[in-house]
Amino acid sequence: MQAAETQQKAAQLLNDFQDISFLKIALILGGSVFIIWLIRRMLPYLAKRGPSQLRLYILGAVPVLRLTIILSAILWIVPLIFNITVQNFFIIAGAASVAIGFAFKDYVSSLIAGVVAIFERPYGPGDWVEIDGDYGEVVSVGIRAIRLRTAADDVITVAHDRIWTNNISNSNTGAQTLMCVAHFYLEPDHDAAQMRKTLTDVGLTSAYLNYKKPCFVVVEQLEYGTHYQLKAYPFDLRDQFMFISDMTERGKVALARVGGQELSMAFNAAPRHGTLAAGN
Amino acid sequence: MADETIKPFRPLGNYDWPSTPVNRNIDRIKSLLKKRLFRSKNNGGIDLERLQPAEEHLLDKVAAPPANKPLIEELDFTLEDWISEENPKQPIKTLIFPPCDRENFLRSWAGEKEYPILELDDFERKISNAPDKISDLFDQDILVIPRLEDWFRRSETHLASVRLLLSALETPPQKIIIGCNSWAWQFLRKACEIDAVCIDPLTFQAFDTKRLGRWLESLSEGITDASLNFKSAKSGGDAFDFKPGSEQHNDYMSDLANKSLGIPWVAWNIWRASLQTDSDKEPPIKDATMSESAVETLWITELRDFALPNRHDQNALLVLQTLLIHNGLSRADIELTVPTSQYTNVIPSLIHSGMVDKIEDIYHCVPAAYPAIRDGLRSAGFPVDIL
Repeated sequence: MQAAETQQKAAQLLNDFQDISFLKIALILGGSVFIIWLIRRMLPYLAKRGPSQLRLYILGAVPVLRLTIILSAILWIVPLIFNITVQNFFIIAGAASVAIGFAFKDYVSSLIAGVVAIFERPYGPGDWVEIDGDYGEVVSVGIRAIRLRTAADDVITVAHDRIWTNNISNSNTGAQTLMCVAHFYLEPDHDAAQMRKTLTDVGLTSAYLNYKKPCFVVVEQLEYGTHYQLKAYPFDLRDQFMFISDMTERGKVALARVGGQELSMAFNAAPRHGTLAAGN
Repeated sequence: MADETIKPFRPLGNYDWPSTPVNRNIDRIKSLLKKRLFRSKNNGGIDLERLQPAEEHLLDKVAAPPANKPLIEELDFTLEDWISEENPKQPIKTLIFPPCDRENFLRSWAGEKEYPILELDDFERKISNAPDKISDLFDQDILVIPRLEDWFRRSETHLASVRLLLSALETPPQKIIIGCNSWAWQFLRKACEIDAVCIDPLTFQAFDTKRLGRWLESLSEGITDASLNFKSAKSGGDAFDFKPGSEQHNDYMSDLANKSLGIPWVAWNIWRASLQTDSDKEPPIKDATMSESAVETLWITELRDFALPNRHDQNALLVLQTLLIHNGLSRADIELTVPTSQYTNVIPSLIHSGMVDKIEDIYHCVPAAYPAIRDGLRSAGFPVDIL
């Protein structure tokens, strides 16, 4: 008697097997997977070869399109398999909750965080972010995790659920450029105005400089010397390390020419994102 | 205006670009596809293998220098009132020109008018002799600085002269005309805030199809020893043919205006490079309009497409950018202004690609390649000029 009831409930929950078009489901799944695969190949290819101004927009479209395709496929397939009523919805949701609660909690947490990340946008493809001390370019935003490529060319996979608990430091937030800082530590006995002027000219004459953004020098007096920070923006964030190296290399020469004497020991704090300290 | 063909210079930022980079890319792809798909079709033109580049003496007859002739009249017209004014409100007139002007238009214009030219060497010598009497430099009625880009290098140690000049220009006692290349202008705006001193810069108006056709046609009008035909090697059509009632030149002139960005010296160089003669010396087309007199046909080949440099050639792009800013540099100056050139052999490869040439140890961007170089730099995110 009980077995018959359960069978009846199951029959109500699922459509009749004869009515389920497995071929259609397979085609929807296959088609979705193929389109997502195509998008993940084509858009980064176009972004790499297209105009630099469009790169981040094209890359940013990948996760949005993928989410749209996945949701469309789910909404298409579910009615083909399940007999959707309010009662059945609660049965499915209850069963899913138990399964998720016991087995896939972290995984689903990452999936949900991934959806939130698409709308909240703490990071996007092409952004330079720092998560838990790892600084790198977001090379892909997957369903569960993102991949960062660091300056040392390491690829780090970071689950989306970090956004619940960690601070995400994004250096450009979708912009084409980001602030770069070159650090210089000098013996305190010098003409600071002259040093600032010299370093500003170093920044202004860099081949990588973005003309639309400011270029300036911040001076800080420390116990052991004077700390100069030359801050400027490259026209393309992919040039940030070349830009910092160029400013550092020419800055050292220029400071020496006007009588600046660099400290022989680096007292700099731990390197922050987007910066390379001279002497680090 | 007495003559409507004279187009006065306009404030910077109002240049009517004949085409956008997107349109140029589409045209480039269309032309490539046409070449691939319809290679064998040649509607009334000439077999390209029979053609050879026109000889220099012939080119000098049919497309004689200077490459900027129409601008002379236009600049005269633009500055007419200002020159005649005793105490103009703006004693400084700044003229911005696109790069690759090999003939130094403003210098030759000033020479023709016999206006004194202030050279960097003179300026530095006078300043070093009497640094406190900087205004004494400007005791002539009108002074011309033809190329401000020659006054600096993009290096922290080579901006002093421009800055000194700008400080001297704060209260100039006389009228001064300053010419500057559009790429250098953008750099100097950032590095020296030049636009605070040299306000309201002007530039010429873009050469559209009609204006370009009229000018290039006029270059060969003085030839008397032979009749000349300019025919498309592809179609056999007359390059200067006006469609009845529309005043629209054929496709070639329209393409030339688009590809040259409306810049006369770029168009002139492309035009000369396109002119070919038939090596067989036989009139290739039966033309009913041809008279018994000597008829020379010059065949116009399709415009050359330069491969766009892209981000993968970052060192090449950096070198091209600095060459545009400075209008030409020696190898030592390239190494001074570009961070990585000394590590690579990028300059020979640029020469090989036809984008750069070397004249008396100075490397320059080739005028005909300028549109492709500009598009490439723009696409790679480099700051570009504004006209």
